[in-house]
Amino acid sequence: MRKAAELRGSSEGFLETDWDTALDCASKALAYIMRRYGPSSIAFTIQVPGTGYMNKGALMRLASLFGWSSMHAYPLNGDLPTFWAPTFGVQSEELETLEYLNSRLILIFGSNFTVTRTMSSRMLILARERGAKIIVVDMNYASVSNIADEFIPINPATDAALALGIVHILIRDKLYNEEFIKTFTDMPLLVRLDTMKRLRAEEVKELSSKAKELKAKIPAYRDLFVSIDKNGRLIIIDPRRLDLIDPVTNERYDPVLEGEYEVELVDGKRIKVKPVFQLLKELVFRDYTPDKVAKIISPKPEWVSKYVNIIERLARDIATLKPVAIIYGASNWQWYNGDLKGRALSLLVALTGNIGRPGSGISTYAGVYKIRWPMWSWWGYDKPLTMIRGTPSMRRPKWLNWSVFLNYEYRQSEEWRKYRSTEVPWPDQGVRALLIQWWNPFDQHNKALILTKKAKRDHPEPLDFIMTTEIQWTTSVEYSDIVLPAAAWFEKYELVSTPIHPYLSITQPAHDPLFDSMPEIWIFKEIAVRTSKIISEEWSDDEVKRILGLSKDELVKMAQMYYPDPDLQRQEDEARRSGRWSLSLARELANKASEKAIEILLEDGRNVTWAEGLNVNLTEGITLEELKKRPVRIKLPTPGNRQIPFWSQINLRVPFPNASFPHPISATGRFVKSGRIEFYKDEDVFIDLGETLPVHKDPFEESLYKWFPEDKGRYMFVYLTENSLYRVHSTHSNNAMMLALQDYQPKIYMNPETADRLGLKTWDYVEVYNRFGRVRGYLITDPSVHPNVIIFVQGWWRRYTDGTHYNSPNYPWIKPTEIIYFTPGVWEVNTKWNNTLVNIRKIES
Amino acid sequence: MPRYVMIIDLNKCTGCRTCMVACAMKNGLPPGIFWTTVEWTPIAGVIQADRRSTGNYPYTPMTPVHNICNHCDNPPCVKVCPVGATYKREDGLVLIDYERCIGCRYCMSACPYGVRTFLWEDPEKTLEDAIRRTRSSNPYKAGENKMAEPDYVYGDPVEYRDKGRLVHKSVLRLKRGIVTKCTWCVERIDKGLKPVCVEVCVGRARIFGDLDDPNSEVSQILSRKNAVRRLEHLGTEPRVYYIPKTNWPKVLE
Amino acid sequence: MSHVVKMFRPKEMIFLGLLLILAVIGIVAWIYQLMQGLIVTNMRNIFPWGLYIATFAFLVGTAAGGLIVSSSIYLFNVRELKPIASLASLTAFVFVLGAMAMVIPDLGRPERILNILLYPNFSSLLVWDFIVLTAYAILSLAHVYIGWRPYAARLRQLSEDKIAELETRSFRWGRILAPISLPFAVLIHTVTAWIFAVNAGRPWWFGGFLAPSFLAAALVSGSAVVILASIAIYGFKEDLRHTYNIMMKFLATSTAVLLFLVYQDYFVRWWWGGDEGQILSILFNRLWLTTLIGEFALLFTTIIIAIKLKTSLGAVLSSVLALLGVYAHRFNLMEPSYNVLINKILLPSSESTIPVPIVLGDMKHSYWLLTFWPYTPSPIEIMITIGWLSGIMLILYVLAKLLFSRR
Repeated sequence: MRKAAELRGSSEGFLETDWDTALDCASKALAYIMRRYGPSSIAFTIQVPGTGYMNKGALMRLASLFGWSSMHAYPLNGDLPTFWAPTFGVQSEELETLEYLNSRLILIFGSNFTVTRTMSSRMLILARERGAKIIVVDMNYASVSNIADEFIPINPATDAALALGIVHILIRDKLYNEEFIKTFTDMPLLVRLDTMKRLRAEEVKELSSKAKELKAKIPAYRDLFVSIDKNGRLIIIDPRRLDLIDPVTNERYDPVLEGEYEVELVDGKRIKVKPVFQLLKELVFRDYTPDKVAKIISPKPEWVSKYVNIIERLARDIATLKPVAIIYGASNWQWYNGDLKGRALSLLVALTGNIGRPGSGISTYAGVYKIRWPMWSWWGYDKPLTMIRGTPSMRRPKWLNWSVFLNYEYRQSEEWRKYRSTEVPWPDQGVRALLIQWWNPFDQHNKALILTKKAKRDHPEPLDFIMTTEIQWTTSVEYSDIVLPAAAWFEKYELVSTPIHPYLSITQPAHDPLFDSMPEIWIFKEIAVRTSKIISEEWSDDEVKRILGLSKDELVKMAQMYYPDPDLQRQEDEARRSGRWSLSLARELANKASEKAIEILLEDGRNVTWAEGLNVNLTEGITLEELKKRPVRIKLPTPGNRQIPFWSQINLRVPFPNASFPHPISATGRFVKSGRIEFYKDEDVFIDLGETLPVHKDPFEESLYKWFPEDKGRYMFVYLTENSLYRVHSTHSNNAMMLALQDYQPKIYMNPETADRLGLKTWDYVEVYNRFGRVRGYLITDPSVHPNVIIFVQGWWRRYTDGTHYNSPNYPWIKPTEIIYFTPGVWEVNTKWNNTLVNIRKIES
Repeated sequence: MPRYVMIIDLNKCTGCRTCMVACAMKNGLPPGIFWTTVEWTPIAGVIQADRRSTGNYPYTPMTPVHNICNHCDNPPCVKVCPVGATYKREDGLVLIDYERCIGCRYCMSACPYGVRTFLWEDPEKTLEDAIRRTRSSNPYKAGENKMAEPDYVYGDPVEYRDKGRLVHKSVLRLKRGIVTKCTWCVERIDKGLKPVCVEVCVGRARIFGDLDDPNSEVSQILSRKNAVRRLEHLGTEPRVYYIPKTNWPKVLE
Repeated sequence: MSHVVKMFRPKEMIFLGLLLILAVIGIVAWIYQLMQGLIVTNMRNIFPWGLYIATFAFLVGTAAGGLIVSSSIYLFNVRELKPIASLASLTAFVFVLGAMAMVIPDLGRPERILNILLYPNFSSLLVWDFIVLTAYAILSLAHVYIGWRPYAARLRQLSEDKIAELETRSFRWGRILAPISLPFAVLIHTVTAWIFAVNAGRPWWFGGFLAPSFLAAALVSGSAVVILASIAIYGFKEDLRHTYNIMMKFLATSTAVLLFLVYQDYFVRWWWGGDEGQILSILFNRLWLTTLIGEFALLFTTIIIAIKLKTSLGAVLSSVLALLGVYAHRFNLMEPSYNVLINKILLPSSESTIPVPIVLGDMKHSYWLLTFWPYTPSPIEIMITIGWLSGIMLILYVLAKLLFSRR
């Protein structure tokens, strides 16, 4: 590795070779696959783009050129909290951790902050010192509990029940913020009791004509909904602004939240309607009384009465201690019903008006996923194509969802055919090639060993070609056909930001790349140039046009324009011709190209549509020169550029959502058609599943037990693949220091009482298994673990677990609500790591 | 002359072990040898710090357990060293002259805190052991390109002498047979910096400063908070103060 | 040279040859240890001293023979011991040097050993031990010399007058030296014990008990060594029967004292429990072989045999058992000290405390932070120790044979 490239010569091993050979081989293979199966059959992902807008964008640029399929890493990693889009219409939002200092109550639902946000846990400690109350709700006593004021243990995947129990008290005791929910949420919206759909203004006899007028003035992705005021007057809810002004009369109105009403429709039919709030109230009064909730969430029956008190007290805390910040952890939403939990938890902050204010709101922190502004000038090929053609043109990659890619069986199912929107992509010829960069899917994403089977061609949809660009010899490298050595972080330029801190920073080369490794921008540039050359030489004009939608001439020109400054490409070509070319020269040119690319990226941030009618300059005054000196705060449209989710909605009254980049508002505005925070979803699938309002459901009923009824009662333990403190997932799994910190032993944690019952003890070598796969490790009994939970500390490459594999017991479940839209990284099928049941047995080592 | 002390506030410690690793990286300690250690409530033989507790579910509070050289005012190690290799500076640092130590390990028998670590073999061999355990089937191979530094090892490349005595040198560059321990980053202190473990502490749980300065953070904290020292009854007069953990969460109350 | 060789019978030659082979193996093992580092021992950070230092303490004790005999003769007027006085001093000399040599393989940097002379730290009892051991070695050598002069004169068949005069002078010098040597003889055990006893952090060692027990152990092993050396050089002759009887009586008495001291200490610790109880638990569980068999059974048998069986067999047997018993007792010096850590923290969820763990110091195991290290000497440690002991016996035997064999 890192000697230059490696080619898998035979099943026995790899052949070490030079860059020219490796890149030519790769280009030939890619051209062949495109010609035979079409460009969209080449799939790739750019992992955690925030850690490298430039080099990760470099692969997007290459994919844009040829039209490959990008698998958005956010849902792939299970990091996409699927409640955001239906509720707030956004991808994700989060308080920057500095804002915790303004919070008075911080509720942490299933997030081991001290381990997974190590550095930011300082802010929790400071917040607590300044008087904030920190409450951890988790199935296990995670280490974050040690810096909390209270730890509330609950059963796995019962957070929605707890939240709805609290909502019960908030509504029963009128502890909600009435003004807030009338203004910013869908609580006053009327719902038809006959269809369970929300009442549209154009359906209502007395509103239909005005609705038609208004419809012309609002964006196509909006809808006009209806509320009713104290006098029984029906009012159209204006999706253009967040206030209580009737768009027809321009007068202030006061909508009712409760009661049942009758409305006459255009066709004269009279139907019964209720406000969303009334439906919510009925729901929580019926199903989520503190008694019922306590029975669901309590790990032991004898504690039920304690939980009744806790629910009452939590409700009072949430209603009285302001601001309230909720941290909703990834391990918590990576379940089949993770969306329901998020929607239920959002209710807590929405009902109490804890949104859009300093130190308040619900936040999810998973992955460095955030694309801070649309970056198509570098990521796409729009500008070169426009320049060549002289007409405005767009050239961007196609998209694909990872779970859809893996779950062949689901794609054969009735459910898929019934609910799949035509938006949800699947290449005509399937996926034939996988490009792996910046990730290790063969350890980290190999659910039910599907990827291994695909690589070994033991699957109905095999992979013909796997290419990896890596800095270390991972498991995925071992399954690859071509391995290209990449430069590591401080051997190249990179533009970086994180979702949790609104700063931009760059990495700069502190050292030349070791051995023959090269910055990715150069690698992908070479593939662009070489592949386009092969295509132009070997394909007919028609083929190029048909498959790539470009003329040969356009293709070759565009490949030459891969570097943002084509002059750099000319210099490299010139050097090659004259024999002056060397790795150092290529690196020097790549570094110059990188700097230029970063400048282009910064340029893209100068004029951005943040929300409807709100344009901002996010990179105002930020230059490469300045970034070379220090990280710089992004110019967010808030006082002090503070990162407070939905500040502009609550304070500037612009409608929900704000843009989820790189998508335009239209792509996500349709998720909250009212322009408000929506808790009532009336798409057919929600009605079919009984999830119009957030509810609590057993996560296995509609997943495992539905597809494999015989597994009911067969597997006893929830399988949690906990993040390790000592590495980022499987990165650095082979680092000696990191391994030393974990005794070189993969560990499986279990409650000692449960272990006793099974006759297991600490240091037993055990295997955790289910129908999909198995993993081995050393058992540690630990009383902090919920009695029905087994924890495997993830990240171990297969070589450390006897060839078994910690993600093999997982399965790529698809929930039908996730396939009714497709907006990459926003509304997609999310990976559900924790929706897994297993058993455990001792093995002789 | 300053009177340096360290305070470890266990209420602020998140158990992340950043101090341990930063210390090892700066001082060139091979993996598995640490001059300071942190772990949650230890259970025999299980050292992973991110999950470990005692008690019964769900009442399982954990305590972070730190260990670091106390730089005692009455240091038994200094008293017993037959050759005066271990000595105490006026500002309180207990240091080891790596060039004088004969490796008799009397100091290790004398130290009640177990903070001293002897180089039982050449540290680079310990590193080799650790790397072997990574079970790497394809170790990095150096190519023709000479940009890689073949003899590179991590750790501070510069050694430091205190009045001519070698008291700081990356351990991976030392040879076997001598005793080493935490120096409180003497070379940083002499430049007016703080020890590296203090600098990197996520929860700012480790605080370092001059107790003779009434305005220093350490003086302020010690005047306000109840701090304890380990094994005070022995009269070793340790200079590391611990603020005991008291802020555990309520559970099902 | 042939003259020297002729002094040894073939059986002796085999015995000495064996010792030589063991000593060479020990030296080879030491060279290996020098090349690899002390990693080849089973000592680690948590357990920094092991078999080497235990053997050192044992050997200091075996050097007590000179004191016992010469003080008996010159201070307590037990003239019956006169015939073995010089040999006893020789054992003291050889064993005290042997003890000092035993420290060398324990050092991480033996090449720096002169630092003790160049930069002595006088608060360290190791330095004082070095001083008293050196002084004791010199005094023992002086005893050997003054004992040897009349002996050599007799061998050279000088006139009876001359011999008598030399004997008188020797006796006079002996009387002068004895009161000087006695304090040093007591001091070597005391200061050696103090090396351990001053460590306030080690409950097994700390306090005033260790020095008297070291002294008692020294009297046992010292007298056993003298008995064995005398039998080996002079045989169990009729004219020496009384001498041996006295020595065996002495052996029995000091063994009884040692056992008494040890067990009254155990009782106190057992009664209190806690850390002290943990010490006993280590002694009687993990170390049952050295505690119950080695220390108790062997020493108890020593007393019985030394009193009841006043034959050559009894003398040899009781002395060998005494030495083994004391060696076992010395081995017990280490583990209860290192594996009982007093640096503890209180567990949050209970009243119990647990020790703060210590970094092990290698990467050969899958754990590196621990509170208990089940120490057993490594093969290299055993080889080096046996080598050193063999070398000491070899040198002692050859010297004794050369200097004092013909009467």
